[in-house]
Amino acid sequence: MSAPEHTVQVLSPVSGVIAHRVAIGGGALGILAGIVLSVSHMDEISSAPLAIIGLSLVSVAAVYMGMAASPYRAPFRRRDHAIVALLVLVAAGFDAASQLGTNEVLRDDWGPVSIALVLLGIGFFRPTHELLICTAICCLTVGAIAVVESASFAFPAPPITFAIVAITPVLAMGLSTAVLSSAFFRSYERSAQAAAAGPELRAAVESAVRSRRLEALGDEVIPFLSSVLESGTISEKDSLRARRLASELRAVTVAQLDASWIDEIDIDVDDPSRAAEKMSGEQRSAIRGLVQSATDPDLAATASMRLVAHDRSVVGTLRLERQDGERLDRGELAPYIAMVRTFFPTVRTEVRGTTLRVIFAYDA
Amino acid sequence: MTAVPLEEALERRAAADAVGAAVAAWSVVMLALTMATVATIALPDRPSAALVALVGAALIASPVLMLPIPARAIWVRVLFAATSILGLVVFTVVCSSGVHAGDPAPGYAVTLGSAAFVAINTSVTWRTTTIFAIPALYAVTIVVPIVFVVVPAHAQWVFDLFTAITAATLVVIVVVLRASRKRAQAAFDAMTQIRASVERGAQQDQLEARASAIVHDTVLNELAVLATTPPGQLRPEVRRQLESTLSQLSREDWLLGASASAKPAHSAFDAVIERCRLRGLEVTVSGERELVTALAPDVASQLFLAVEQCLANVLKHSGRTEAEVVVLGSPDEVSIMVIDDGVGFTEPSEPGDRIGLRASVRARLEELGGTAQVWSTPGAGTSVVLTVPAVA
Repeated sequence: MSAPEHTVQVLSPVSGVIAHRVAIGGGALGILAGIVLSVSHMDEISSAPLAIIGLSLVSVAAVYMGMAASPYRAPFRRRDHAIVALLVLVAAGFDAASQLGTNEVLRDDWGPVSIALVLLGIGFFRPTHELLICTAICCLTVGAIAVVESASFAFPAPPITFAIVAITPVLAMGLSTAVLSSAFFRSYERSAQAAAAGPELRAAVESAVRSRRLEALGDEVIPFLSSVLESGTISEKDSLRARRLASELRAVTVAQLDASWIDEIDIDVDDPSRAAEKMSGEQRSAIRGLVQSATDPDLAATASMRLVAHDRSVVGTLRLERQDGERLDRGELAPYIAMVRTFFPTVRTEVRGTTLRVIFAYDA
Repeated sequence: MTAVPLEEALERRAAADAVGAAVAAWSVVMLALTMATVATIALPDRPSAALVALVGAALIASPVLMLPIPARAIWVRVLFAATSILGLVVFTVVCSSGVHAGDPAPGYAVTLGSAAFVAINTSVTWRTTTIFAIPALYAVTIVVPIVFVVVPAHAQWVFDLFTAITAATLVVIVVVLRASRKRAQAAFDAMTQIRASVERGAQQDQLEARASAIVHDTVLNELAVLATTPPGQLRPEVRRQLESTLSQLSREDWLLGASASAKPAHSAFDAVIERCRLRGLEVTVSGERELVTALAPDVASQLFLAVEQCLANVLKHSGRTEAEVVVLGSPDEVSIMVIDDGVGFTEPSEPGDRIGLRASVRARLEELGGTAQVWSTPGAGTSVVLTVPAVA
């Protein structure tokens, strides 16, 4: 699978869930601003059909943004960004066209304002460089439209002034979304370094593993080997004891080799080919997070998972179900679903009654 | 498993920092554009007025100076809020100096400054302000033009939609963040713990696998030898091996294997072959032996331990006392093939079978990012190919 993109939504699915709500709110405000400004300055509109097309396009853009930003459709891709940006730019174009020659005041045009509002939450979903490129394209387009319209404006000012006025909301929102994306990563990396996993964690784990092994060997095995070495001889009884200890140690070693990370979470697993071991660290985090959240007492769901290995891929089905007949709170699970969608190349979710099924595939 | 204690969820802290920085950036860009607008209109004719407007804009933006301060005392907030209001008054008065009776007010530059005023004063008090602060700040942007422009100049007051949209947007953001806070904080914390737990689990799995390999190569091997040793005096090589094992396990770093890389790779490889020859195995080495010198020391030491286990398996299970070791490679990887023409074997029939292959060979190779492939047929010998990345 291709590497996940460097976006806030990928690194922090919880932020993605919040940003989805911001995107919905921004989209609603964008539509509202369009309607209010159109109605309040209806005398400047020369072509009502073009104005209606523009408002329809901004509504489509807001609805598309709200749907694509959903954690159940994560991750939000470059294609989604391009579609939303294109729709709002074309909508702004129709707004300008609907007032061509009759537009006296630029500040009451809804086009630039709606672009900024519909793209309000975009900083969480796309990487910084892409946000900057999109902002530049939007500003150039909106600025050019304002310059073309400037002949009809009542206020005596140079065209550059109108261009600056027009790009103000777009540039301010665009740059702030880029700052948000970049600031998140800088803060996250700084905090992650401060939390200091790395060498200290490895030393702590190493110490724990070493102590446990020595404790297991120290009861009988090491004293036995030491006593044989000290005496310099071996008896029939020693040979029998060596055989028994070897057998016990072999069994413990096999059990340790067979242990899987999946044993540590509260889930029934059908994984005959031990395919869970093929999951990456991010994929394990995503599955573990979803299962832990669903089986938490608040949601009280039961979880079961089946992993079927094929030639080059593994297909998993995670089944989450409430036993009391209530529906699962999907909102509570949203960030974890988003995480699964981000880190597995193929994911589908199905809701049937009280059961949520998450079907995913990954490289074997 | 105990999760790694963290002072605060990384995502939560990062998200809070990012939102604060974004709103501050929005405000500063707004002010910069406001100044650009003022400059293009007023600078050619009234440079002194543009300069005063710049001072007013700077005062409006002054609360951003609080951003680096983690704990902001109430008097500091009040001081900066007052400064910002003063800036709004100065900016509004200067930008409205040409307004006459009946003209619309506030003008466009004033609306930009007002929107920035609302956004800046909301963002710098982000974590503690109530949602009612936003309408209060918005009210200031209505009162200031009325008191300082509309009433004195008898201008016509017009509704400032731009600032209203800004305030409404901020209300939406604050409402969403507040509504999501409780659930999101729990999810942020859970996610951080899960990630820490998975990271710890990965480290633990790796070290457990290495410990199993070492225990297999040392303790289990010694016990197997003692189990088949006839009663009486210990043979010198058994005694030496026992001493070596007990000495290794008494070292603090036995799990990390720090001493394994002390020798250059080629001499460590030769030492492995020599040890196997001393145990009675006739080993023939061919291929591109110099390739092993390109391996990183820790990779080489783990690879050679796996090779030694393969050769030990030949001696123990194949029924032959001859084996061939072939070193092959490419710019990206190095492979060592261990071949015998012994009895061979089939796939493990019970869980305890072939744990040497699993613990000492496969697990070691997986830890290095390599692979161990086995081809064996009963009666037709066994070939094991160990491949590791050739990154020095």
